[in-house]
Amino acid sequence: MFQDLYRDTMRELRAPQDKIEEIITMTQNTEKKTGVRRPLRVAAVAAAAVALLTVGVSAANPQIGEWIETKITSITQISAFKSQMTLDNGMVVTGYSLPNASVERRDGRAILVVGDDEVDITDALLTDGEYSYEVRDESGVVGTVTVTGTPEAMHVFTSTAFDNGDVGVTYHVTSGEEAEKFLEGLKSGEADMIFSAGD
Amino acid sequence: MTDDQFSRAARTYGDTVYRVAYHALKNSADAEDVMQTVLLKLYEYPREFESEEHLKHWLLRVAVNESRRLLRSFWRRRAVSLDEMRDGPAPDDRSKRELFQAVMALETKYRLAVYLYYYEGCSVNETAQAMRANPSTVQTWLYRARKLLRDALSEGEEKEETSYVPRPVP
Repeated sequence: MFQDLYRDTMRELRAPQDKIEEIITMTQNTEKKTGVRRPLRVAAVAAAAVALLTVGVSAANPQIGEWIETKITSITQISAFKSQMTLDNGMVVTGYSLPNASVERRDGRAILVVGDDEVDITDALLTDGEYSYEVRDESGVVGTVTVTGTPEAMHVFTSTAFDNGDVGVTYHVTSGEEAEKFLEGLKSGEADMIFSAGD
Repeated sequence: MTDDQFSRAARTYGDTVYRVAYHALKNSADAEDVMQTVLLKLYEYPREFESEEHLKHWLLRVAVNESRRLLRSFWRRRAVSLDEMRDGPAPDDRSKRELFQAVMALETKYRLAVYLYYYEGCSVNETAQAMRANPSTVQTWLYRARKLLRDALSEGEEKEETSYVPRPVP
């Protein structure tokens, strides 16, 4: 009885149909994006770390320490995950940033937050011990966020697969302090590329 | 999702998204904003939906999220419309009008749980998933919401007029 009356009442609550048509028209006049809606936020420290990581790993560059000392004079964002940096020595470096991901605990649930999207990954962790989230940016770079573990103890790995087919390394920077640790580790060649997302 | 698929989904589920947002935000302007955001997210969603149910539950979840995001926003917390709750439907039927007002007087989480469970026919688990909550928490919310509605609608009413109010289930 309650349900019937409630449904009858709320059925009268309707969206303006002209607004829905306006939204449909808006999409028809707009070029559809693939993947993320807008460039994901990348903190300054994390962006630098990503650039260093990309060069360091793809080239197995023993001179990474010297590179770190080089100044970036400009950064041009090519797409959500891809940017080009010009160094003060004139060198142009392509950098790949990672999906900005975190895992939050809400009411005992594990919620993966990637940009604007949120996914409840509790059940996947309980049954499979792993959850993978994939997003492709407008230049074809695929960002992957993989969460492993249990809802109580998780590790978050993020990666970008480069558009030349190579797969980037994975890591996750969760805070300024950890970013600093990461940079220190990278300089010494002992980078711990996995950071716990747990409390 | 093709343009045709999107148009069909927007026309089919626009009201659904709007109602979720209205239950969270209690005013039509904000509900329209959320509806637009959610539908544009749907348009740009890069993956295929496995089924109509999958699509619907995705929309419900994103609508709840976007409504919450707006509720949390700095601007809205300081600029709640004076028209809030005044621009909803005004049914001629007195019992409907009272029920609408009683539901809108509930806390946000209760309103959303009631909507998803009673209107959309979601199970407790589905409601919990859309609201990022434990199923047991949702059961508690529904129990409390039913009790609050019963109390609110019983006030000043004749006994027989309360017969449509559900009894709390232990």
